[in-house]
Amino acid sequence: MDQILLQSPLLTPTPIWLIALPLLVAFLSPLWGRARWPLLFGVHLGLFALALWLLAGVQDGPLIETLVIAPPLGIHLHADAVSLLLVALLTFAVALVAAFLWQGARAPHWQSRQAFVLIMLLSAGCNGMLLTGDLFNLYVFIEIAGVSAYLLSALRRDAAALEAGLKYLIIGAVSAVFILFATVLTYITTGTLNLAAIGMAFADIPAAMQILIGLLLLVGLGIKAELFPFNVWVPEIYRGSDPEASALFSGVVVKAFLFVLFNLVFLILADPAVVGRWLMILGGVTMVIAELTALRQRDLRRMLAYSSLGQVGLITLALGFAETTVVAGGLFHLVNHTLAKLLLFMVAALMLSRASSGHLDALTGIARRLPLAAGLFVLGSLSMLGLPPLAGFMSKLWIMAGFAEAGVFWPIALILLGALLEAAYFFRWIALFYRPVPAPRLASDPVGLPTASSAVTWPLLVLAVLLIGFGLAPVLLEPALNLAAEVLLDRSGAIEAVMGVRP
Amino acid sequence: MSRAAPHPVRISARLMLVVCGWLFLLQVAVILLTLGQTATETVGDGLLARTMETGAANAVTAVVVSFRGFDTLGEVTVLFLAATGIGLLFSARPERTGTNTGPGSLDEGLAEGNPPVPTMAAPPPERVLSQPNEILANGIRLIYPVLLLFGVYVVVHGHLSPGGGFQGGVIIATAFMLRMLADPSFVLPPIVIAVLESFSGSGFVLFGLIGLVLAGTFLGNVLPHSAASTGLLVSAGVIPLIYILVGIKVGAEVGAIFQDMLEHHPHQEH
Repeated sequence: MDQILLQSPLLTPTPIWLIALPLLVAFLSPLWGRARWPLLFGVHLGLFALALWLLAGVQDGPLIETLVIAPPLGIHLHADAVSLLLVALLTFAVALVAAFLWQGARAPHWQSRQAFVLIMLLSAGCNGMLLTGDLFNLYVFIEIAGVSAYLLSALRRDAAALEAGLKYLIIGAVSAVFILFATVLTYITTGTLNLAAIGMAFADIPAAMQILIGLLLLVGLGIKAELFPFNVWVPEIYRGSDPEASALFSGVVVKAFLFVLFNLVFLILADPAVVGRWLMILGGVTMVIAELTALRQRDLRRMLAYSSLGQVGLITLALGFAETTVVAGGLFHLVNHTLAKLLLFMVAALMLSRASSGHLDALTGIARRLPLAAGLFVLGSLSMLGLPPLAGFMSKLWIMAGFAEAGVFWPIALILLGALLEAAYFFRWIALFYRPVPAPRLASDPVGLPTASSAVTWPLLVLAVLLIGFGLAPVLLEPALNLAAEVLLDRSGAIEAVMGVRP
Repeated sequence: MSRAAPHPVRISARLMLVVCGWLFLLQVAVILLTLGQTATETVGDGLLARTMETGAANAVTAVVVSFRGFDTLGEVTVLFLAATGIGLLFSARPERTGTNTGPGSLDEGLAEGNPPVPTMAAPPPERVLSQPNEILANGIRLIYPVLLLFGVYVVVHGHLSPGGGFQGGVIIATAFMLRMLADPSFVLPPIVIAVLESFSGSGFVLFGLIGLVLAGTFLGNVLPHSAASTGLLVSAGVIPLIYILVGIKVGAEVGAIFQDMLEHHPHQEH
């Protein structure tokens, strides 16, 4: 007992804290009173630091944390270089949104205890999805993240928000049914729920059953990861929800689902080439269709939603190639997209608090009233479409260089086409923000909420600095991303760490 | 082309029926297809062989609360979210403004335990509920204490006999629901619900963290749980304690869900 106490997990924190701490703080929510937003920010900053600290310890191999009994019988957490990198990214993103809401959200629905609980549990659910090594446990965390997201989109409780919440609930429930079917079938045919054990047993089950399970997972996760043709619901929900909530959906939830999808593909399939090819095609189609549709949007939030779909398609295109350089580029773009979309959605929140609606006409000339916000929007959109020296340029360059090295050129053409379309619609919106407007229209400031303090802009400035910093010095992230890509693709290493034998 | 105004999209009941029917048929087809394809050796068998270690006579409880207790913590969290959501959406009527920037009406006071401020300009319409009839009122008066006691029994004996925190908690909540039917003035005070929810949920996580510190794994069983005491009321270490917390949480939350879904809001009657 003494020996156990000496190496107490309180002194050497384990990955379970990344899930247990947000759960504990959320359950204790009635205690916090007015300290909720600082607490949400502080907890996530702490989790971010913990994830980075753990990340430094998994450079040589994954950290397997047993829960109650050892895998493959029990549930375990699988913390490796890629899952911890994403946990760090997502907790950082939630911390910034929390800071923004703390300083900026004056609307009563964001001041409620429920909003705090929902964001905290959304983050716990996403961390659980990234870290768990068990298929059913994954389903439980998908439900936690999902239910929090449905409620966040309905939080404002007017007609638009309730419609968005209801639609999200229905489509999310359908997706969950597909994932549950796949889980049940996997357990029936392989007799195990541990992801590594499934990875070893999956090749032995009948081919027809493999295809069925794969399709069920593709539909279920494709809905949640917003891939074509399962993503028609996305713009409606982003339009009805508050931009702060959409920032969390686009920047956090979707990224967690993308990781789950690709982690399953690379872990379970001995040869991911065929499935990867199909995912690349899905990603390419998602990107082109979304960017084309974004051209026609006249509502800021819908435009951002379609742009988000386009970037998700690009990330899928890169990750599906299953080759280290391109996957590292894809993960880099995933990081950049989270940062840039958080920036754009938070700027949209600022603009919507000063304009009568998110419509094109209502936002004309808004740069006069919100010069800093409009400037940050320009920066975010330039990074999104990939202009040097911003981070989005570097990640697109990595991806295209990787494709060129491998001698595959059609994705490069698609990515350039996508960037062209992005330039077209982002410049249209930017031109509109800076268009001079007649004085009377400026004077009619709509009856909005009390204006937020200027402190609200510091989370935005942090994001802007990071976008410039990663663009100028991608070497800051390069070792971590390369290692993450190798670990994501290293199927036998991941299985060996859990099962003790190489597949 | 893109639509500028919010368009009146309704989710039609017929479409939902088709989707649900399709999913149901898919499930039936899948189950029929997999008959005879089951794996010979499953993790379930492996876990069953090791339930003796937990000291719990009920093997299902041993798996649910100990071996896969982390899943159970997640499921309790999903229920907590569902109760939070129903409280959010049903407890007070939103303003039907339809604008995007207008502040929603949210009973922040309710969450803090203060009486909620009516948010509508007009006083809420008085809903005169018909008084429950004599048979209902007296019947429930008889059955209410018995049902509560039965619920507590099922929770406390979860590690010995079929049942446990979820089942017993729902029985307790059913007792509350019957009381609400029989007695319109019966109210589960929101502050008590909030305290019970917090206490039981955080207690579950704290048991997990105590297990992490003392037994080396999250939710590890830190109290004595020898196989010799299997079958006694005090056995299986922390398993009955965690299940009692689950029972409290389920009882409080399902009870609160019933209350939120009642059409009249009990607080506006005083």
